[in-house]
Amino acid sequence: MANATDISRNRPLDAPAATGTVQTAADVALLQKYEPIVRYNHAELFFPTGVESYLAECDLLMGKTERDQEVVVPHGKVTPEVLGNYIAEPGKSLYLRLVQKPLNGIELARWQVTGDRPRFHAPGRLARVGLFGRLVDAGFNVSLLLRGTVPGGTAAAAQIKYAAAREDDPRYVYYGRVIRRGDWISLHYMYFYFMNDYRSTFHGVNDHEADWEQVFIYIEDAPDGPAPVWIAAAAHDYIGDQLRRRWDDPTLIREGDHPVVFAGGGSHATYFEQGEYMTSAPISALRWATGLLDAGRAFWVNSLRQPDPGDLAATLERNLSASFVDYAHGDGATVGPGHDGDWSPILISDADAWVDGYRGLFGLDTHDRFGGERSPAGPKYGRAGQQRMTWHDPLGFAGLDKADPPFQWPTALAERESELNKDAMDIDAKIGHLTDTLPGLALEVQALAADGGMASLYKQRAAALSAGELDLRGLRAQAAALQDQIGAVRRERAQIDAGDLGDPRAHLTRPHRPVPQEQVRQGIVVEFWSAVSAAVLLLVTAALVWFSVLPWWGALVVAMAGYVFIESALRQRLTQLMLRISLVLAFVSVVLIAWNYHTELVVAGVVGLALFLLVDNVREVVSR
Amino acid sequence: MRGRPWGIWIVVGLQIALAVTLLPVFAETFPGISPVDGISQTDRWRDVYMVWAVLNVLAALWLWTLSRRAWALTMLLVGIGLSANLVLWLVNEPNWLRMAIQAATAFYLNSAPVRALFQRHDVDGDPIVLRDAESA
Repeated sequence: MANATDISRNRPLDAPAATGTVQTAADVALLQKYEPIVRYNHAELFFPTGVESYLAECDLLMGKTERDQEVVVPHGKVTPEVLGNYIAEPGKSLYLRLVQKPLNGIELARWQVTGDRPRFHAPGRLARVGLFGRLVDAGFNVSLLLRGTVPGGTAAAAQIKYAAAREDDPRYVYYGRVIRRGDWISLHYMYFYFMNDYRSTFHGVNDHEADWEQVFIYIEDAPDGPAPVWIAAAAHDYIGDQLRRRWDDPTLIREGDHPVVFAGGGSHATYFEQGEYMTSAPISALRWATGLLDAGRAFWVNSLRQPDPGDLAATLERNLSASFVDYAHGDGATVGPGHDGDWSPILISDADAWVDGYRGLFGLDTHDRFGGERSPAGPKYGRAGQQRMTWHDPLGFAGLDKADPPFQWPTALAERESELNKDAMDIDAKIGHLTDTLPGLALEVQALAADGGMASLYKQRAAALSAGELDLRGLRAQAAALQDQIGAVRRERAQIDAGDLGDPRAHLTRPHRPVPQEQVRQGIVVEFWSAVSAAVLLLVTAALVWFSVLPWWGALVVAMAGYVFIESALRQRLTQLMLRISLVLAFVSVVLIAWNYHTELVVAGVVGLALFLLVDNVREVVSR
Repeated sequence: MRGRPWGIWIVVGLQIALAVTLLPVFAETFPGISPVDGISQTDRWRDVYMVWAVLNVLAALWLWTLSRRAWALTMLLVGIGLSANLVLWLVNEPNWLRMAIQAATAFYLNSAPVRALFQRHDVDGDPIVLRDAESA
């Protein structure tokens, strides 16, 4: 376990922080008490480390574009102090560069075959997605040739630098903050890695120099002592309720007071459950079709009495998504109390110059227009220089800005019940007034109706009576709703008083879960076919067109049909395929028949309706 | 004797009836009705129609036993029949009645109660997946 000297490496304890709080040794103890245990993939090359050793390997560059950049602080001269005092010139931006010279082909090949680094093997991810996903994957790979990307050999060079740095400083470091807001205490853990090698080592979406990952633990500052309530972990760019788990969530693993989390291979994205995660990129343009698909599903199941095909919108989105796998196997090194290595915490705050003063990127700026291959900025800022939400609003980041700590729930519910009771009393008073006055008004209107000479006055008072009646009905409906609300609040309060906080997963509408094991493992033939199918499809189409066997659309149809047949055969789904084709053909036939006989169908419908009315009405007359 | 819904009786009857209209003897007896009518005696298509008709009759009789394999075979034959009908429509020789019967048969056999019926009356032993994996 780290001692106070480790902790005070960046800033002395008890120094005031710019957030308005004073961070004390007690805060550090709090951080250490709940520090997460992080389990890594066996092939992981990079682990959390301190920024000093990273900066020692970097140079600092400034420029407007990739071409006009210049080194402003050379390799070996970059320190936290230098970084914190460097400001970009107008129109230019700053970025660090870890790898000044990536490995060339020969060096890379030598690096790959030497050393005792564990090699990564995983079932083919392409077997888990449909043709569209494979084509998008191919397009993604092609896009790497056109986009700004981290050069090949960078990850290997970064690994060599990281290995050398670890010789000097073998600590596993996290940067920590303790933020108090109301009765919440947010423990903010930040992990810094030399590199994100998700693409080059784990067949993922991107590579970039430098990587910041974060975990939050939210503690209620209760009168009888602080107690952990929630944990949230940053995974890619997700925010909100789905990121957090309650401390008593059955899927959250804990060792004593330490939660266990799993880091994605290379991406270092944090997950609560061990497994493999599909990081799909949903095609948002197809969202409009959701309502249509739901209506079609309802017609198919309820009107045609056909089997339920499930959530069609979800199926469509899954099949039309480019998918990558984040491997959170947790079968490698484990860092945390009692494991392969202990944490060395370092407190940071706005008072640290390199945190507060440096708004540039922490690694190579590839100018990738999609952003994925650009390095992140520091712990406080985003790439555009704005403060990260995780820094200025850690509660809002996990959707907790709307929530009180649990120890306050009984009081909050009592206050809410009191407010509702007051509203109910106000409404009861209005109802009482109307029930007192409306009968007299009704008699007055009755009296005015008897005299034709007072027609105008009668209309006015009758209108007032109608309005009063409407008001009374509305108020009675409101009173009934308020009684329901008060009852619900009372039941909730009684439940909480009895120690039951409710379902710990109630806030999760779309929890990110690992892929079931049965979907992970595929046969070698299926995996091989998945790897080559998109290329084969394109080659067959090109050959059919080139040799004038078929027009382009015919070639595409034939190639697609061949693909579907082979895919179904390999997955032993030919019966399903045949069934689906028969149903599609039946549907097309029905449409053709309806189109050809639309007049007859309309006439038949009208005659049928007439006969139904005739029989129904005659039956009613006869049965009298 | 197991109980069968009327729909199965109708499907079996219609499949046999449609198959009979493909036989050359029917075309000779009722000229102008059969799709085989007009095809010369020497045309190979007459043989194809003949085999097709026999296959359909056998499938229909097997379907009557409520076998799951017969269900799958009938769906396959219906699909092929619908394909042929769509090709005929493309060449401006549509047979709307056959098309309507085949389409109705496909939807009926795929309906949830009928699928459940064939699942219950498993006479083959070997499992055939009648349910889509995605909707399971």
